Amino acid sequence: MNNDKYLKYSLQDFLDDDAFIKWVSGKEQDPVAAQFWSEYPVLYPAAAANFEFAVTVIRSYRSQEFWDNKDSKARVLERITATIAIQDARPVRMRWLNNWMRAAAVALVISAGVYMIVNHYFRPQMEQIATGYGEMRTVTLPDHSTVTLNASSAISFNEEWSDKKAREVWIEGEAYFDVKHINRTGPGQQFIVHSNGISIEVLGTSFNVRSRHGRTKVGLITGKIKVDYNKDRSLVMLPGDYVEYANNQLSVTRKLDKPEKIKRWTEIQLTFTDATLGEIIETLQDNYGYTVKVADASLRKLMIEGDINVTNVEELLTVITTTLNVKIDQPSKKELVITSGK
Amino acid sequence: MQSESHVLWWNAFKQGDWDAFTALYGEFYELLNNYGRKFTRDEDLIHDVVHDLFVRIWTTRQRLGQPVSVKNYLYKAFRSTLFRKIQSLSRFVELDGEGGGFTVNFIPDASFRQEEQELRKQVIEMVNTLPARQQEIIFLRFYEGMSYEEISVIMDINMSSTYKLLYKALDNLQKASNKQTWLLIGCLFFLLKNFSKKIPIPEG
Repeated sequence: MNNDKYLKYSLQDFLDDDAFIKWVSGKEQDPVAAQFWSEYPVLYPAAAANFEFAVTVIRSYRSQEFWDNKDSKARVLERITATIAIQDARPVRMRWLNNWMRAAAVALVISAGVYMIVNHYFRPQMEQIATGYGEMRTVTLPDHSTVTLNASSAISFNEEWSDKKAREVWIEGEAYFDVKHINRTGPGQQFIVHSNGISIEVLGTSFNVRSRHGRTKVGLITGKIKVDYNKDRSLVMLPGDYVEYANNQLSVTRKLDKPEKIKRWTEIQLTFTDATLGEIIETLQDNYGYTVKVADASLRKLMIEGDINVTNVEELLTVITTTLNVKIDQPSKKELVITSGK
Repeated sequence: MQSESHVLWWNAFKQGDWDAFTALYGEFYELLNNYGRKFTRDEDLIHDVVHDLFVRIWTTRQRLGQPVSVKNYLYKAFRSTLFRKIQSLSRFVELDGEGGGFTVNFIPDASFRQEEQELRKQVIEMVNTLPARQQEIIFLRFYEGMSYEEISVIMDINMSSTYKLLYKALDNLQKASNKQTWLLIGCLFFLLKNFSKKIPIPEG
């Protein structure tokens, strides 16, 4: 990669360079190539201005809306499945068939459809999905309910859901649920989330579960859920309710002013309301894998009043150092040392 | 750019593996919708095109080859299906100029610095003033990060026309950009230089 042509790269040269374009649009998977481009301004200072100019303009353009149209994803697939099932079974010259044959053809259409569905959906297996540090993922469950997993979290569920059994999922870490209400009686209507000693029973609703360090926090946004704990105890939650479960007891119960705020992390990566430094540190350790040393334990109690909404850790650290009287040192990439005073 | 799983899924799907087929659908549904949205705001039309495309590749799977890039193959097929549909529709209904259009939407995001925010808006508005094909090439090049060769395949034009089209688009952009934009870029530039460690690399 070390090449004299880069010494005097013009703006046009950058825009023409396939390798540069691939990197700047985040498509470069080769770490060596990616490193070359990130070190470019240092390696070729004479062309650094053009480089940064190209990066700035392309980045501005790339911040456009991405229309994923997720809501229709399952519906369009169902249509595709149906069309294919009918096409695969369509007899070539229907009008020559007598009535009896017609009935047979119809049966064929149906069984072909059933075969495909059977082939696709009815292979019982445990599905397990986990996210790493700083990673977030939305998972669609077999009933088309969706779960957004926060960083370092995991979900497992049976790949096959029948209407004879309750819909069940197991959660570690933090997850936001948007559960489909199924209009039928029987156990298949039940939706149960198991997390660290408690079970949450749901009827078509959206809520947030956070289970970290032996503590499980459940916040309800819409609908109604029942929390079962300690085998025989239970509590019905209404929208805005927020409970915390730790050491075999349901410890805190409070009403949230704006319940939808607890799912803000699904949209922005880092979000806090009236957070203490201790809470922020916990998130940095759990979701981003940082090791944080605090010089004086009382610093953890410092609070940043109001809302913080940032997209990355660096911005978060800037917010902390500009609002609190603390200094943050970063001896290595994933290590932070917080001391009081500037 | 070709990911290994795309090749695995493609081969299995050609053998008639339904799970691999739905995996391909799951992987490309959002990308194709986003691409289609730039040409039309008609959601049903986009759904129809995705439907037709996936039904067609399933029914003709045994005759399909081994594309260099599964993604580019689907983009190209999606694009031509969409164009055919728009054309046949326009015989019957007036598409209020959407037939040959291309639009990118700006989304305000408060987490950006104000100068950056303003620049994003201006860059996107500027690109939106270009003719549809020039906008499309800008999108494929700078959003999808494609090479000249990949673009020429998808847009179905030869390499030299691809270069020419992009140059023309960039040239028009330069003419369209006013003093304010350059000032903004210059100002941002200064900011970025001073916080150069903070440039997050765009992902996607």
